[in-house]
Amino acid sequence: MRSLNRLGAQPASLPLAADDVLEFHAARLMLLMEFCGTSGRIDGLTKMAKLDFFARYPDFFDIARAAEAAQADGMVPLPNDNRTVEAAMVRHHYGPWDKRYYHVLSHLEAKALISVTKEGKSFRLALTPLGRERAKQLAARPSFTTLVGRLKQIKATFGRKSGTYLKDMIYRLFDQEVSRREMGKVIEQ
Amino acid sequence: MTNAFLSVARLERRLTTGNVESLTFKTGVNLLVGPPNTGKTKWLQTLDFLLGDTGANPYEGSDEAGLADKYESAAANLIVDGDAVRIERRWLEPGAKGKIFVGDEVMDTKEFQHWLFAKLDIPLVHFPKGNPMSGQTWPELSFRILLRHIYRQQRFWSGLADQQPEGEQHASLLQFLGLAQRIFTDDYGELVQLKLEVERLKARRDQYQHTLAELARGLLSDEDISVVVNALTVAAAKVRIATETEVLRRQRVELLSRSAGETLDPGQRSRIVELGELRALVSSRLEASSRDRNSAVDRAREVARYESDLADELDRMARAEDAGTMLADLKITHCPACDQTVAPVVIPSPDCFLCHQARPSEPMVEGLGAVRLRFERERLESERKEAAALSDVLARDIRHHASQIADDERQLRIIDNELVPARQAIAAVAQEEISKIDMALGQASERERQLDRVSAALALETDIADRIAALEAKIEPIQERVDEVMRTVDFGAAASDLEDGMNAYLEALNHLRPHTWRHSPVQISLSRREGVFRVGNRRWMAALEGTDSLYFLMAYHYGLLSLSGKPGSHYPGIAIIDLPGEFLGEAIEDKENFIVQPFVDLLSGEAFEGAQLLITGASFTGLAGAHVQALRQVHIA
Repeated sequence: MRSLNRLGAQPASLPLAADDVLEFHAARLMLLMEFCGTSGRIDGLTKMAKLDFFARYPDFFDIARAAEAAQADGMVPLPNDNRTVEAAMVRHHYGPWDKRYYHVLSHLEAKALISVTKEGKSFRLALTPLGRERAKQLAARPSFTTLVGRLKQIKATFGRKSGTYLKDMIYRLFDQEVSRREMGKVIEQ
Repeated sequence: MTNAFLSVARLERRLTTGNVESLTFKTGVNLLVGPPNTGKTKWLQTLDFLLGDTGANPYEGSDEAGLADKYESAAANLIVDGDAVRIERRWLEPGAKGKIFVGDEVMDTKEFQHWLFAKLDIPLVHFPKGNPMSGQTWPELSFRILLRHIYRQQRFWSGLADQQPEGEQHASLLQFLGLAQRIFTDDYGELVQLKLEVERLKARRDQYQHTLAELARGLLSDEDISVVVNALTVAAAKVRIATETEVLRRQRVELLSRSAGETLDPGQRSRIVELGELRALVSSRLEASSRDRNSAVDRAREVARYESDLADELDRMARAEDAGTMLADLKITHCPACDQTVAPVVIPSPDCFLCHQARPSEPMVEGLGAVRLRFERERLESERKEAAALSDVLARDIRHHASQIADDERQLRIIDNELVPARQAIAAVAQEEISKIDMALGQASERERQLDRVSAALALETDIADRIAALEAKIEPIQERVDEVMRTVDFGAAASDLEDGMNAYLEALNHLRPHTWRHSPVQISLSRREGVFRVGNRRWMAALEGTDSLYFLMAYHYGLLSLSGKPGSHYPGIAIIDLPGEFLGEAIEDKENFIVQPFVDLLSGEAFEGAQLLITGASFTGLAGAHVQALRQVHIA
């Protein structure tokens, strides 16, 4: 995974996937903080990863949302948006994870787009004023319309839940796909 | 001195009050003297615990009231290969119960034993417990196992190492004699594993053959195979069935044409033949068209999935491009490691200004990345167009095949309708015989299918046989290496080293007190599998009774100690002997000096400088050349 500025010299014969572009993941995480956080802030890496899991896997989000709807009535049905996986995650100790998070978050922090502070044992990830401005600009681009729509739904469904709640729910609902998956193996839909 | 020796310089135990009780020892013979119940055994148990016992501390659960709460730790100053080391155990300290403090280091008991082995230059080996082919994994020959031969506890005076399995005793003996690392090699371990695997596979193959034969008899008809089921008999049965089937088919055709000749007039017969040929042609064409259509449908489904994947990736590319446009131009302003604002770089450097590593060879060109992404998008776009075009072609193919199939099916229906009256006429004449032939053909076909199943099952047996052959090929060179090593090991010479030591002790007893040992000399026969101690022609336990057993066991320790200086052997030059007050009903007291004197003489030799014997006793009055520790306080419960 590299920044766009470093991809220019890559030979044309080597295929390049969006998943390899650092800014592709950086943008999604910024939008996640903007639309799923509280005033552009998410408390805890675990919560961020679990919300990101739903942002990346639309089908899993639908199932989790349906399970949540059984507890809380009156949910608005989702538009029939794109169902493909945005970027795959792997099974880690606490459920779905992407080891590239540390790279992306450091990158965002270095460019003053987010600030990372420690609150007790967890990290507080917050968009800076520059980060919020750029996140809004990103959200206005047509290419992000579907993703932003899904993020808003994720916020409405799980925005108030803790990281531990989401982790337990993912283990419970996706036993075969996540819990029983071998450590470090890619999670498939 | 060629080997590394272990000895105890000081033994301490700390009371919960903070006071320390201690004993000091020297190299050579150390006598721990005191009347019964003065704590001699407890001191030696403390040393045993310090040397890596994984159980409870020696005072826990003690019969003596309050002893368990009296002491909180114990320590020993050891001399290991000439180096002074202090070891300590603190059983009351939280988290330290299973730990051994070695100098400044904290180890668990296993680490400590490995450390001790390394210091004493004793190789760490794994050995088979009992029969090497038993299938058990080989445990480590630990220091604790060896200690059973170094430290004779007061309660164990009936065997070389009471209650220790023979496999462990034998492995310990080989270790002391310096043979263990040559016998229990990785090659030997691997050889045993491979042989076990071969045995398992052979047993599985035999079982499999037996089961298959039983099942096959039930499945197959006697006319196919009646004696034995194997690849050859199955192949022969298949040929027989094929011939039988061919004959039945010919009979069927003949029967039908004969019946047609009898029932149909000649003019009608030529039309029937024509229709039959046409029907065969249309059926064959219909089958081919269906196959082609199914293949085209599968391919179209694949292309559609590919097209959809390309479209999704194009969407992601668009987001990556937008994100790059929005974020890539931002400069690094803050260090994510130390949270400080990054100061402007004043001295140009080829390295990265933030992490100071050499930069990658490719240059950082702003804007070029976006061009690369656009190129990728164009490539994806053209691939998608190509996939869409392919999709159209496949759709046309499917439509064409569908129409062809519909035409053929229609034509087939027309032919069948026209054939119905002729069929009915022929069936009326030959129905019964045709049914019989059809039934026989069906049975033949079913028998053929059963033979195919048995044939597939036989392939598994062949697979097992191949695996056995591969393992045996692997075993051959390892077996040769192991045999070669075994040929070079002189078990007799090693056994005679110990034998000489034991007999020297018994000779010394006879010298000190004539006719003490009236038996034949001790003989040891040693092999890869076992070590047998004999007195005359009988095993020592059968040959000896009474105090002769005591002399024999003391001779064993003397023999082991005498190995200490010998090059290649791995006995660490220490023996700890807790003499019982009585041995088989006889008081030991009057024999104490007499049985210890040979040890005093042995350890006073230059070759045994650094070796040590710790031995308990009631008096040892007047025994010269030994260091004495007297314990006088009698503990009464």
